[in-house]
Amino acid sequence: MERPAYLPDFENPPLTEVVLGVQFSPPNEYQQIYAWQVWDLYREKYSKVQEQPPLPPTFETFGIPRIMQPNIGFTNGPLHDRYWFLNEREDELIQFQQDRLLHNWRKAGDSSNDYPRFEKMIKNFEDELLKLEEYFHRVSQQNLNINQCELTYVNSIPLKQGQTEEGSKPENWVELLSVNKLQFEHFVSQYTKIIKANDQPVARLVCDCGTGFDQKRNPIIILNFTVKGPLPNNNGTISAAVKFLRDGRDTIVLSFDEITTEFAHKQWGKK
Amino acid sequence: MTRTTAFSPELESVMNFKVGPEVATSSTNSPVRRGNHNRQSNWYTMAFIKLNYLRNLESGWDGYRGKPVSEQNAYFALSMLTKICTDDTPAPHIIPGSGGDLQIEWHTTKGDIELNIIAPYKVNVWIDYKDHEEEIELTLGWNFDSIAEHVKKITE
Repeated sequence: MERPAYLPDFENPPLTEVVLGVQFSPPNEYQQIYAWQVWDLYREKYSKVQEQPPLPPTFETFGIPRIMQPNIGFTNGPLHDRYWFLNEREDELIQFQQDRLLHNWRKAGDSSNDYPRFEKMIKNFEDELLKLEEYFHRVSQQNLNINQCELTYVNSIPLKQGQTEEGSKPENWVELLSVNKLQFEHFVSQYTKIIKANDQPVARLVCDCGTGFDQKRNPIIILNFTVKGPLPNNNGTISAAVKFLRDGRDTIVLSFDEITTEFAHKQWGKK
Repeated sequence: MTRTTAFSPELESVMNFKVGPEVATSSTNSPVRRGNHNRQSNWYTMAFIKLNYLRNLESGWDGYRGKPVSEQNAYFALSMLTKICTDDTPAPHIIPGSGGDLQIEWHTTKGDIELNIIAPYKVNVWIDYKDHEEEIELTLGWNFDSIAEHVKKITE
């Protein structure tokens, strides 16, 4: 499927990482000792492996507005690790745990690797989900019952390296940072939006925006967007998840375009 | 520009402090960045303790083949409660089901409300007001706006 024509397009977006992910019901017969069998599904392209602590289950619910989510974690019951299966260049990885599958692309090495674009990523992710579903079907005669999807775009906008005086001012890149007339030292903010369809909440957009530093201690703007939510009508199929992620991409790209300035669009080669 | 996406965002909240979303980026060693929750409501603390206990039930806890409350159901229950309860809401009763499901209940002189979490995003609701003859039965997924109102009426 081609990129929709109504979406703004940038030749050189400040993207440093994109994550596509789903959460599903843990299959009945799956045990952690089988994780190597899951790695085998992807090993040809993702030949390296790392162990990571698990991600806790997450759910998007709606009702009384709450600013903060509780900071909790249940400690009982067996813990299942999360595995990273990385490609040779380590710029793409698949994350797997008993109830999650995620696919990350990220800038790596000298950061010269190009963003493969969402269309290619979603196609690959769909194939990876189909392989996992086929595997779970063999192990426990279960389909992948997906209950939650998420999509994240991480942007890093340099304020020093190769910048003009105009480009070194945060307020010239992101509308939210116009409060720099206060001459802040450091700025962090988050806003969320309820995403609706037919006047009913279907997902949540989270935008994190702030100033920070890159690995070389150069000042940057961090601008991250996440769309996450349940699948409509509890239809936990792979095709429903792919549709959710496509709609999520539209929301993120439009929000990114909305929150950033014309000056920024010019620098990133908006078509 | 014609917008054909099925999504239409509506501003929910703006915060001037940092609470990261639960994102699985590769740059965070700690996979989840969350803010400090300085003030926790009484119902929240009670529910968390009870759910943690129910997560730790042994298989066969009911004398048959009862399973502990599933991890996803426990997390979903807390997420749902944060969208139903205000700081003043009394702590609910939480009762395990034998299949890893659970029931959340309030019983007062004004009425009864029971939320049976079968699975994440699948909640059967039963409400009975003492001064109404008709009972209310619903199945809900992720939008608990209407339930928050009933819980308020029955528990205030």
